[in-house]
Amino acid sequence: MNYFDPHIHMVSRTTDDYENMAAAGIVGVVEPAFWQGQPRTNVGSFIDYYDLLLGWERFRASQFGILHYCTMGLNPKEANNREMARDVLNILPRYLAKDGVVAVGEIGYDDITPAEDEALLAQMEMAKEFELPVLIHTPHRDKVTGTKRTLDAIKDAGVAPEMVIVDHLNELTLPLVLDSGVWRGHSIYPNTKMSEPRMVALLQQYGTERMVVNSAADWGKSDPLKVPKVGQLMLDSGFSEEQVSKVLFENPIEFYAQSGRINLAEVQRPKVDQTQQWQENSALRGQTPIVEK
Amino acid sequence: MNHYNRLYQALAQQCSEAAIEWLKQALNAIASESDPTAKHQIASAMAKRKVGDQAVTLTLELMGEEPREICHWSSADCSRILLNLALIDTSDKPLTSLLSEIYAQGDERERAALLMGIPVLDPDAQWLVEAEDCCRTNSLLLFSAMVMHNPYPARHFSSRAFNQLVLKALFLGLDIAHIEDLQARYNSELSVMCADYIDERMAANRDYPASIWLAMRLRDCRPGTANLLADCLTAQDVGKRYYAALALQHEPDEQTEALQKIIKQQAEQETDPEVQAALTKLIESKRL
Ligand SMILES: [Zn+2]
Repeated sequence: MNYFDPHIHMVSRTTDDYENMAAAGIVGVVEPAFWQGQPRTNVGSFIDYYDLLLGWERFRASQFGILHYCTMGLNPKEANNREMARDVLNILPRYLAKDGVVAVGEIGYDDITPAEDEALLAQMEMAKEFELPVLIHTPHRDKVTGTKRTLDAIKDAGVAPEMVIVDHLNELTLPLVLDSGVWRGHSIYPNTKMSEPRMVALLQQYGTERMVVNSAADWGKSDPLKVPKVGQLMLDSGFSEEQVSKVLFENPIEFYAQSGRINLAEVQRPKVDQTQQWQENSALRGQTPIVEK
Repeated sequence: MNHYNRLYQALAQQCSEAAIEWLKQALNAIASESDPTAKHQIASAMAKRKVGDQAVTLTLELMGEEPREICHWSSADCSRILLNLALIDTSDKPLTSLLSEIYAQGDERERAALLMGIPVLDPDAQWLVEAEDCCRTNSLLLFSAMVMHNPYPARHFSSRAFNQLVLKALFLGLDIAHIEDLQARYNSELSVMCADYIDERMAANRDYPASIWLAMRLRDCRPGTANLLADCLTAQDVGKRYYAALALQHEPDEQTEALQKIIKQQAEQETDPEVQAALTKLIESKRL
């Protein structure tokens, strides 16, 4: 079974994680730009972080045969540092233009402050300009209010609902977004957020349409294998392989495919050893192509 | 015709109208607007999606050499090289800082385009220190872009940097037959480094890259190396046989009777046509 983790922060994971993820069937991931556990003090730190997502982390993932994409954005926590936030929003467009960037995100509310409002709105404008989908997370605290505010903000910004995924949903907030047309993201995260059995129950109750599941694994106590674990529990609970594949592979890719920078065929294509290919195709055949792209 | 026009013409002939329309606008914007760097950044990032990534063929004179046909640059690579040329044309910043800026802000593919196109962008090697530094990358794509089918390193790199590059290519599993002017840049130090690498691999019970012999001369290696090369001539692995035959063509010295005998024997029983051709050429050129 092929899996896709549409929200995971690999910069804080080890190579063992990559190895286990590949072994469990995860063939691709999306790494949303987020904060680093403590506030950054200047725009340069963001530049280096964004470059890390586009460069080194992508390379690290490729060593394990995992495709790595990312989303770019200024997270709400750091949006509250207004001066720095302005600088970050100024450099953001050049990253949103890059090929490996499949959405704007993760953005949204944390404490629901005016500064967060401004950053959210500004970035949704950029998403429209660059024709990118948007990954919006819902806050940990005051989640119901935050989710309602988020839906209002999407409407105010004039972003098409199918271009948005609202993430970290639970039993209380999922019903709020059902009628809005946005994609529904769920983070299976130990202790806080969701668990596998609760997730399977939601799928039983609400079906598989526009439902998306991720691990949101990061530097906290979290588990990068949550997506395949949900897959197993779905199978054990009577879901078909097609249904598992729809929720845990096709749905998230279909959502991000709206960027035009990722598609199902690309993720399913078998990997090739680049040097091997070089060796076999060109060494004795005397032809030119430089490493498969 | 200069490089800019040749690149543009090749793209115009081989890409869609919509792609060229977009490219034309991007080039004009870089040439005419007040902030060409910002225009360039966005255009370069979007070039692959707008112009596509299909193979393009073009003829260029790189660094004053004879015109050559280039067919390993894609339409995205060519567009990005072109956008870089446009920025270099308009900007009043020095070439070196401009190239460093473009490199720093590019993603892997944008950087690879800069490195592939470096003979066009920096024919006089003003950016040499940085170019040598780029070979420290861990990216196979970037390293290949600088090293494979690129005349810049052989023309400009110091011996130390060039030797390191050859060794790193072997290390990464790349075929060093694709390093340009390897034979012209040969130096005895290279033989020593490669022989050490073979020793290291064999001590660890691992195989060594077949093309390594292209960077070695028997006269600069310790005695006994010739036996290793002779083993390759008759090895099971076709790549080993092929590169051993090829490397012997480059050997300046006459071979020992024993080695000559092995070459002739192998030529009689060789089954692979390409190895056979290499052996025939070897025998003819050395009048064995
Ligand atoms: Zn996250």
